[in-house]
Amino acid sequence: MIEVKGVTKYFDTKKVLQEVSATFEKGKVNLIIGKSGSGKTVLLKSLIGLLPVDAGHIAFDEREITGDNMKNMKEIRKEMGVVFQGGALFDSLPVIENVMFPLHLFTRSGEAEKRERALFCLRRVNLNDVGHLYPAELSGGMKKRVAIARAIVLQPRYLFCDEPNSGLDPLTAIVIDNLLSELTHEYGMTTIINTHDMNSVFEIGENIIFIHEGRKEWEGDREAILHSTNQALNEFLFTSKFNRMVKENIS
Amino acid sequence: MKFLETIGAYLLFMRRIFARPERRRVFFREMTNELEKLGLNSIVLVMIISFFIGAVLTLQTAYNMSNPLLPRYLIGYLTRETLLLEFSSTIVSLILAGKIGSNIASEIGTMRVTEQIDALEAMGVNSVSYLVGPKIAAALVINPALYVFSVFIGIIGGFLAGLSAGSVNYDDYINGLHFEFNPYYVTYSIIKTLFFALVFTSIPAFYGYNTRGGALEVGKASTRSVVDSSITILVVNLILTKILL
Repeated sequence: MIEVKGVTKYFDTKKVLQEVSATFEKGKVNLIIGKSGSGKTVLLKSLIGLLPVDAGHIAFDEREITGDNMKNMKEIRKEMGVVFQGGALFDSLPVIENVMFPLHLFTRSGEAEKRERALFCLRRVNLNDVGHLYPAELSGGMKKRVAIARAIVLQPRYLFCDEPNSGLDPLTAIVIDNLLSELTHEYGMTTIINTHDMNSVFEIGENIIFIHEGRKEWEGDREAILHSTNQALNEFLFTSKFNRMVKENIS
Repeated sequence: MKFLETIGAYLLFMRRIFARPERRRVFFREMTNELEKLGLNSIVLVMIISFFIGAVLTLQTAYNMSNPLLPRYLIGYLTRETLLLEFSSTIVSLILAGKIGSNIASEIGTMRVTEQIDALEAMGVNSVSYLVGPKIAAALVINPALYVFSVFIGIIGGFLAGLSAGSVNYDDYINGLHFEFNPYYVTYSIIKTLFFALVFTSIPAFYGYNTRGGALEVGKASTRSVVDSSITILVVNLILTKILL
């Protein structure tokens, strides 16, 4: 479980996060949703320790990482996997080496053992015989799956994904969503996904946080979101005629 | 003010480079890769440039020595001195600043804009030390070696050009190469190549690492890094010459 209390972040004088508080539960797919520029990526990067917060607290299973407690982050990093928006695979390394990279850093296993673990993770994300390829030779969906394989190779307790299905066709996007959901339940991870994809919200969102202009505006699950009366949330989710129609029918 | 801020940021960046690497094995593996990328891939370029510059130096010196009172061995002597003191250390380093510098800035800059550096940081890797440390270490090894190689090839180029054009004979050229040879010049030049290696790897790495935006900014960082590292090499050359000679 990850707890966020009163997190505030400034870029120069601009307040990009305003006292955000939330609880991200273990074994669930937690979604952070919001418009582009709403502050959700800043929140995610603050959670993974890439951006220090100016005020507030963040705790991973009661281990603080803010203020003087940044040293806890070193230990927590070994327990977290991150999937970046574009995959962030290392261009100079073939797929297999990309997946083995965290194993080189954090384990003292032999080369064969590491390779076997990496191949297992690649198979788990439904990728076979791609270990020798370089990232430039992969499609967008394959890159995302390799990034997921790399993120789970250390069997993390926490999984962070920044818009994992951006730039993908709807079918591949749902495959990625379902894969993340399956892995979350299989490994009992605390998964946090940043997204503005409505399909993801209704497909896998078990705990959803809506960020609007740097503030947490709404929190609930995918059932509750359909009945929400929050104006900003409804404007964000139900802008298209189709989505409005779906909401009216369900309501 | 902006200049001082950049210098300060660069010094802080350098401090992170020299932090202890997380895994020595990973560091040496990366350094070996860099030796190949930065060093071996530059050998052909250094060889071609040194050969032709050595040849031209010999022919130009011969052309300008029409006075019969000047001994012909001075042709070999001047070719050697130019290569030893300035060309093979400073000019080759300037060329490498263009080739290697733009490569480093664009590689690290692309890693920055595609979040590969964020991925390293998220894994707890000191990305500066991991990405830049092996490049600097490899350049510190390879640049003095390229210097020695360049001098050798330049002298051969001068010899072949002088001989084939009939500007100098074998004995005069060899006598010139031996004439008043000062081994300290080699030491002085090797010291310079070490400083230049630090400059043409760390400055492009600094610009690449601090790239923000997209492909356009990567290109700008690459250009800026080549310009700034070339100017820095010239300034460092002047300072070291004043101190060491």
